[in-house]
Amino acid sequence: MGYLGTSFSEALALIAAADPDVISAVGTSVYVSVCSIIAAAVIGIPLGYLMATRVFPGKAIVTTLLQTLMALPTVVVGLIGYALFTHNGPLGPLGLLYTPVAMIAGETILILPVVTSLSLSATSSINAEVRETALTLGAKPLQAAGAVMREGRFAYMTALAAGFGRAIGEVGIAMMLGGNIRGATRTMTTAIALETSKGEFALGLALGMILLTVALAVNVFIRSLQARSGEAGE
Amino acid sequence: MRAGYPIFDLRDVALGYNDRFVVETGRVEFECGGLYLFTGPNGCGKTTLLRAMNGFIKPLRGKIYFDGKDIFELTDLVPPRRRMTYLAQKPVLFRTTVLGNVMFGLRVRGMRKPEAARAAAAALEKVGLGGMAGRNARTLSGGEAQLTALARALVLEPEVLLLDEPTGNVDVGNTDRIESLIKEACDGSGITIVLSTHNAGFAERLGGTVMRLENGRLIPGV
Repeated sequence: MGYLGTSFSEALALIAAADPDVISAVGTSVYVSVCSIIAAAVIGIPLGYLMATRVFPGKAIVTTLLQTLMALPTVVVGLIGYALFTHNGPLGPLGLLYTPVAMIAGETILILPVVTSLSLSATSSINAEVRETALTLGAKPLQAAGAVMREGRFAYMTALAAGFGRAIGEVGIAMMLGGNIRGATRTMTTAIALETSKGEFALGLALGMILLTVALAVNVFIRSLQARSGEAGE
Repeated sequence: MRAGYPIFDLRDVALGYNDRFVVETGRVEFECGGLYLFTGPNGCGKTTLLRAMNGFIKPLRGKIYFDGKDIFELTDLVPPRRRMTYLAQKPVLFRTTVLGNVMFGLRVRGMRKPEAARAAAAALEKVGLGGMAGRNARTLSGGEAQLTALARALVLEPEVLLLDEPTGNVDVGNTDRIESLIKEACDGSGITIVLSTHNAGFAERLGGTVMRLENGRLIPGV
């Protein structure tokens, strides 16, 4: 208990002192996760909308596959990404391995099924008559899509928050594609793994506390959105 | 559009689901400025017919011409839909204010926000909901929602108004108001109105050309 208590006090001191290693890891984590969620939103929300509103052969199979990919192991994405970005890989000449760009690409692939699948559910949950009403009022297909998305805005934001939570908490991709380089690609999760293995438990604990705080903030955000959505009768 | 010109022309249209016919129309023309009523019991296919005229249900057989063009041959349904407006029996109001709902059709046509707001406010005054512009549309009663949807349709000044059971879910007071608004629209603006109703009294009071849907067939001029 004494060891844990001492580590906890040291962790609080590191946070209070704005330790450069802590700040750097937090900054990298947030930067990579935000970029990933933006990329996943740009691709996943329209894809989810199209999947919900279009009829095409094999739709049930594709939907099941997408839902399965929500549980994609991060190390598998890391492995595939490594194969693509490594020196001899097809994207090797770009020199992106062990850079934040490679991490963003990997995390985007990881959370894309989450964002797409939850966007699909969000669109499906909105009365199909919303789209039809927009069309009867003279909306172009894109304007009708906009009307549907405004109706389900809280549900789409929940999808993004869930994707962000998955991205910021993952370790496999950050480790394999980022390389855990201090001050460059070291994230909170990779730093926790490293510092704990070195016996620097206090630093790991400090980062763990910040990570938990971020996860808590994301969850509070999701719950407040769901509450607003419920109040609004969605 | 000149009076007497057939804005809609249904040529032996057969509508249905999964190859099962629900409605067969024969040849029916709807002239500009006219008032046409589909009557018949619930479930006889009135809604199916109106939705087909709005381009949402493709006929299993036959053609629906709008202003001389088969609407299901058109690659873009936006232009004809901007000339006609369909009002569903249970209208869907968007998650915004009453004013925002009425502005929607104007905004998608590119009207600037201040002008759209002015026009929408005037339309709400016209239907008697002037004091409700800022209210959340999802909190309206059935009658108020129907009037809001009617204002949302009328503000667009369409050439054709397709109304599906416009008084189906409203109380007597709002039925009277909707009835007078429809009569006003018919008399003053040269708008063509095609509406469905199962209420024989309402149909009689409105006048117009009544077409009865009976045993899956549209019988004109009843």
